[in-house]
Amino acid sequence: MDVTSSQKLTAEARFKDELALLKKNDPDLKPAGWLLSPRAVRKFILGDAALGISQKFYGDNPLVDRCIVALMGHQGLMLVGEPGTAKTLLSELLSAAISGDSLLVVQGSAGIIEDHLRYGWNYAVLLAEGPSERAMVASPVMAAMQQGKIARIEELTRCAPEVQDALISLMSEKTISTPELGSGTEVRAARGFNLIGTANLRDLGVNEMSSALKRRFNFETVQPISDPVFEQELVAQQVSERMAEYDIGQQMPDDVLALLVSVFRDLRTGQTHDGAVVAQTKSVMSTAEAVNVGHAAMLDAAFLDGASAVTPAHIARHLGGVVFKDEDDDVRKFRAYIDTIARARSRKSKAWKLFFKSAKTGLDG
Amino acid sequence: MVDEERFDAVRDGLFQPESGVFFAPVRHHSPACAWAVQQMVREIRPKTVLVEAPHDFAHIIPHLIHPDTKPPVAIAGLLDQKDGPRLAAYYPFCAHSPEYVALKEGAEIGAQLRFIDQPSEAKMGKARALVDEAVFDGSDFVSALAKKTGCRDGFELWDHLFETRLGTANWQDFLLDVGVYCAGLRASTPGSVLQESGDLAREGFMARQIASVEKGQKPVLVVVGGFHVPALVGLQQPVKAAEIKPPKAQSYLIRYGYKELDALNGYAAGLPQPAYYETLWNNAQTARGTPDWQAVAGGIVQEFASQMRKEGHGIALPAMVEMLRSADALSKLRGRPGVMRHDLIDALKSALLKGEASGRDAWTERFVLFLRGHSLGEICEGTGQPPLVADAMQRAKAFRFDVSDGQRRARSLDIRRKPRHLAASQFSHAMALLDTGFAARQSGPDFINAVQTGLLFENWHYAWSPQVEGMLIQAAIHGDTIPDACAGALLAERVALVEDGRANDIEALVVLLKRGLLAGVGAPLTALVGEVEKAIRISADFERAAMAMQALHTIEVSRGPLGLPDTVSVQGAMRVAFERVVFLCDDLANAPDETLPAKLAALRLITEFLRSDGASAFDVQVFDEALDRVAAANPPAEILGAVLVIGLQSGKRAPDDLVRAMRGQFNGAFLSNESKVGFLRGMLEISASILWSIPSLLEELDRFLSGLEDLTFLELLPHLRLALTRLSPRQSDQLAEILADRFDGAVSDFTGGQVEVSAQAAAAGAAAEIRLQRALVDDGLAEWVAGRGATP
Repeated sequence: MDVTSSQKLTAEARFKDELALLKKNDPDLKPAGWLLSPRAVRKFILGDAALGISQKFYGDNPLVDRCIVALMGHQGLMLVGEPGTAKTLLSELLSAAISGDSLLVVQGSAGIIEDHLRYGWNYAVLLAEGPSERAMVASPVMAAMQQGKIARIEELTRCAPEVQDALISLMSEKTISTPELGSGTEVRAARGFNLIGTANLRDLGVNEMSSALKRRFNFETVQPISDPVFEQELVAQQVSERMAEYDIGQQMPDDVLALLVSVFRDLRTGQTHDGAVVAQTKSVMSTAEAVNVGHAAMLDAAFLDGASAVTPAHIARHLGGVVFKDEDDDVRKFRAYIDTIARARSRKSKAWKLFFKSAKTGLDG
Repeated sequence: MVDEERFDAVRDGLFQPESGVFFAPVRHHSPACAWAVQQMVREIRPKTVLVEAPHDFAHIIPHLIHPDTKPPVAIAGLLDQKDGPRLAAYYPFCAHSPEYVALKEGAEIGAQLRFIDQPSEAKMGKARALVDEAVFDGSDFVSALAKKTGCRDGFELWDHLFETRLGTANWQDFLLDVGVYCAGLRASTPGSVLQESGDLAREGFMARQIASVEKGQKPVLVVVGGFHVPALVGLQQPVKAAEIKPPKAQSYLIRYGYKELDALNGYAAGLPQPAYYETLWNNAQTARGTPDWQAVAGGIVQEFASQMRKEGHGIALPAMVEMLRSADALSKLRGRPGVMRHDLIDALKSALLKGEASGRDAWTERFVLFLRGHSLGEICEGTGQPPLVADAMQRAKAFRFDVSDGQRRARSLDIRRKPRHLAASQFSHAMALLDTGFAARQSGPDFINAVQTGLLFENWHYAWSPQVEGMLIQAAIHGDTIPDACAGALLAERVALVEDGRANDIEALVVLLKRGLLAGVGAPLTALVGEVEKAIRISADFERAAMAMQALHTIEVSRGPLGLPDTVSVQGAMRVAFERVVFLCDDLANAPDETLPAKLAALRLITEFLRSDGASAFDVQVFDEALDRVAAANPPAEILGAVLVIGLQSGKRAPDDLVRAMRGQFNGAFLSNESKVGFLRGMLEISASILWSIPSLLEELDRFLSGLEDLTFLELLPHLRLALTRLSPRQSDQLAEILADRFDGAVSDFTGGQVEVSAQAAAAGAAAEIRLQRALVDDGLAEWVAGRGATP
């Protein structure tokens, strides 16, 4: 595949120069099969001013240390956390830095079968020649084992439990037996092989991981962005990126942006910036969802309302799609938030007044 | 001065062999510093050891270094103010405190030991901790350096730079580096902060103390917080010794615990989790040098695992191995010679947490608690009474308790009318709260269980005894005055609740609050009110939240023993309770049957409260709106009845609504007939008089009852009775009258009155009874007759 012309470049392509630079300046010991030393991997992800390496993952440096160390051991690494917390980005960066290859990836879904984790067959060759290595189609995991690289499994909990279980022996033995090629044949993992999984443990419709599988992974929870100013910048940037394709030249006013991020942060963290406590919603109030709401509100304002700019009322209208998605309880929590926090703020701020009115109407019909 | 010059000044001034002055810049509770100080004393053999501690504490030094005294201990300073509360502050020592090691080692070689800081009163009132190291964690210098080294905060940075050098033979280089580091800290601290914090004044004082050491008493070793060293090395002009005034504060040596030490670290007073650093210190002492880091980490993990196994949280061997491997790899990745505290904690997270971590997880908490430890110090005999004992004695006398001997005496207190008696009662309650065994209440109002709260007198038995003193010494850990100690004891009970898994038990918290009020604890109760508030905030139980609101309201309007002091307010907590009640209202629609009586009672409680004067601060409309939602959400009949009556009372609903709803219930299709009465029960629970204040309601009920078949009526009867028990006897009479009127009869027609029995009929009845009994006896059933308590 020609990665340079695709919609999204792989991490190793995007940061080719940085990786080369790090490789050149890497005096430290490398674990077998690793392209970079653990310290260089750390620099790649967290940045290094001296070498001119950019920081790519924010917020939790010790987490990155733990991830790197986990991958040096026999355990796999399981990244968990809310959607929109850059788990996939982190796993991509890790595999790009360690193996120079972030493409050995299995996208977990209910449709995944064991073959996708082990191997399948090229049936034309199989019928013509019988079972042979040539007829075998290695899964990304098996390919990673053969090449001593990091394989990634996205959304592991979306796979059926019996498929997940295929990983148990694979993780402990680090081999895949291939009885079709003759008894006793197997593919042994070259050094450097490991697995990074990402999983969502809270969504509906995911499968619980067995404890046997859990034991074979070190779990790391990726937390949402903790710095409000940084989050606001990130939301503004992503919303305007998305709006670029509509060519309407609208920007989200600062007060609306602040309100949007504030509502999401309040409901996510369970606390407002001035210390008032809020009931946390079960629904995901991630940065990514804030971007979705901001985006929808802007489209609404521009195309349905014909308004000159997006207002807090639009935000209130579209919050419903996020907060009320599947939890009745969250509606109550949101109502409590509106009744107390938003009501109090509406007395002092025009933006909050608009938001309060619109949200109240939305709730009470 | 440019930075390099600052660093050079410290480097050049730290050790001055020519003038015989040696500085040891230290961080409190740092084993690495303690090690360097130990080596230093042994090598330079100073004739004088000066320690940065309030000089009015000097009289405690002999007790502190006594062989029977085992750290952790603390010097407690106590200062009476003319106006305002008595101030208390602590100077803690543990075995690995550089100051303690300097004193012990100095004593060993016969050096003169002195404390050289300003008297404790200068710092009291500013902080509870007499040692202050906020800059080690908060300054720009630290943040920048932490960022550069990849450490997350000042604590990790300190460990990374210095604790990793524990056991070094080269104490000179180590202390020079600490000095330079502290020069950096100081350079990034604005001058105004130094002035305001009083640091400059203290440094001036210490410099004069150092300069006053005579030539014959040198070499002199000065053990001071590293932050002051850059200033002290420059202030070396020989000046007149500082004038020492008689101390204003009293000071005592008390037993201290790692728990308290760690809590004090909340005030930025040294390294946290003392048991961990003690382990490092002990290992260095055993190894007489750099500890075997791998063995230290292995030992810690193993001990933790075995303790956890005892507590029922087993750790599998592979997980232990993975934890050690991760810790080791992390320390290498971070460029350390050995595994340090943060590596261990990170490794624990990697190895033991399976699943998503939210905020503070159980394993990390257990481990941090383990690293904190539970050690409690010992103090040698003859160190004088801790201030709490004196305070208790003084108060007992002031409140006219006879404590001249151990005799048990009775005392009756008129708590509602005599303020002095109320104060004496508070003291007795406080002594009971501290579990001293001084006083026991024999009778009187029980405010905790709300029994006989109207009584005017409280009767106590009391006696002073050595046991009381012993218990007070134990309680001294909580504070130095009775109210302070009570506040501390309540806090400890609060912590025990948390450890018990009852962190959010509102009732238990309210009891703690009440006990605090009865003991006259005062302002510190604000923290407890905050805890109640927190528990309410996450309460999932409508009744509990309502109960809390009611309990807080009771406290708020109380005068006398349970009254709130001016400094404490429960308004905020009540507001939170109200918000929570409103939030939980939506649960009413789905309340399980068995909880209905409690929910109805809570609804009544809330409505009664919201209609009272105390509720003016609340936005009742929000509550009404919530009830409207409940009514619309197809709730159980009981709840519907209650909610509609509340709506009627608040004028939001018309009487017709209620009548229509009741008709709907009576004519509805239910699985069981008793459900039909639920609505009535809910209604009556809120207001009994509703039955006759809306005539059509009674009509509707009448129509329903008269339309019932006899059997159904009998089936319903117990449920009807249950519903109608809400009526008081007077209300029953009133209802009877209305019903009588309605059917053109008299009340006596219903109440039955007296049935007249003629003498003849009575005799006939008696004769029949006798005949019946005989017949039973004849049939061989005499026992059965006897069993019924009658004789033939």
